Amino acid sequence: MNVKLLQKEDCAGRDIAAIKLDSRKVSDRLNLSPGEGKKSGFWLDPRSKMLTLLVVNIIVFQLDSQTAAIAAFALVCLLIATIVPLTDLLKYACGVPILALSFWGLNWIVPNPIIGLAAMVGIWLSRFTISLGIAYYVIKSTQVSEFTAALHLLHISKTIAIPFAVMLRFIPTVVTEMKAITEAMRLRRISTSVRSIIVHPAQTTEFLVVPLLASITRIGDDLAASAMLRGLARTNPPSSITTLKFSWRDALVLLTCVGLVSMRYSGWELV
Amino acid sequence: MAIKGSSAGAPSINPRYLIQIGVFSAVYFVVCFVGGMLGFLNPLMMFVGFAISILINGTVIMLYLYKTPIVGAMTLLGFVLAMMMVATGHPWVSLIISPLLGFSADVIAWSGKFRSRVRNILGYAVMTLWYLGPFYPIFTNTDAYFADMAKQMGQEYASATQALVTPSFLVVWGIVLFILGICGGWLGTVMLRKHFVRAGIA
Repeated sequence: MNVKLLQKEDCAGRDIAAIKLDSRKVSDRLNLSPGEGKKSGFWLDPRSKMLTLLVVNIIVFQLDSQTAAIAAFALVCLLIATIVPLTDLLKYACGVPILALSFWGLNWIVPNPIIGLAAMVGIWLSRFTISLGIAYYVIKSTQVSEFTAALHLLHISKTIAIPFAVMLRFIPTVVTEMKAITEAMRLRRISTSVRSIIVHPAQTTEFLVVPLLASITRIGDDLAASAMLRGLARTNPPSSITTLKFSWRDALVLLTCVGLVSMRYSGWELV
Repeated sequence: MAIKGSSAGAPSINPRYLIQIGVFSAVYFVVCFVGGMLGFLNPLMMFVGFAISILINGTVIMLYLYKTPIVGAMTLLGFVLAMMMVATGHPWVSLIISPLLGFSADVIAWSGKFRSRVRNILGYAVMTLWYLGPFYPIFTNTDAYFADMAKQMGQEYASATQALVTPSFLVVWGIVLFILGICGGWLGTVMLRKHFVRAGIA
């Protein structure tokens, strides 16, 4: 129970102590900075985001329906628009159709089996970028604590939820470390291109993998220590600062998913 | 005085290990993914990319088995990996195959208490067989899979792939994967001994 001891004066001006029970909400009690604990922008429950990720991936990778894939792409662009500035969004939203159309157009112009093969691979690649887009959205817009809370609400045990959440949070770190190591190696005149992996494999992998593992080990230990400090080893159920609630935005996104699935299974084609 | 055979000293799943599992699965996944990305240049390069990623991951997994000497290590790695594979659109069978292979790898490594280099290498080689998971539909309903592919990717692509990726090819690829796993594990052991043992990390 949170209590506050106040200094008050009674009518005669003498100092008396008053006790005020603290009935504020958890998020107010913790003196959070203005941004923390508040939901920003087009906030979606992580569970809706995971469902959307699954639906988009199933639709995009089943090579049956073009229209549903295009609709899924539109959905992904709209979702990314809520977290990313307009210029970056335009780069993505224009790049993917251009990629797909260029391969398709190439196939149309030159009906050659080899070009056809390359075109099909290219179209599959452009579908893959849609999947990457929705994955980027889910990872970028969900904080690790929200994600862990969502997994807990889905009654997924800690043994699975923690490695999964840590892995998702850690993949960008690994990529950053790889880039830093590659740059450091370049300073030492050790090239780290694909060609050098094939030409002298042992040396290149040694120079890349060993520093990566060393720094990953250190970062992993730091992460474990900070997580233990934040109470990862507790056995009682956690309380969440951000309440994960179902809102009209979630309903909207879930309706869109239902629409995508029905579009795919009804077989209605535009193109 | 420690009682012989008591489980007081044996490590069990605790949150610290769970975080290590997450950390190393992230590294493993990134290396696999980058290896697989090479396949976008040329579908045949995909296998070369997989081979490279298996060799690199040998070191990762050897260190991982040293740092998390519990039976859940490879199982959970396999499970998390399978979830990522399903999330990127691969067949759902991976969710069963990968953890099972991981569990076998765990048992093999556990029999040497995770400190026997030979058994760790064998465990890693068994784990590497999960790369066959995405190809599983080719074993079960071959015709449906290729009919599906022909409907969308064109008949030439489907015929070319069907000519290449026959079940016997996949068996050969499985053997190649196992051998690559052993090489990768052996390479990892050498790396570990050369660098990490001196630094005191392993």
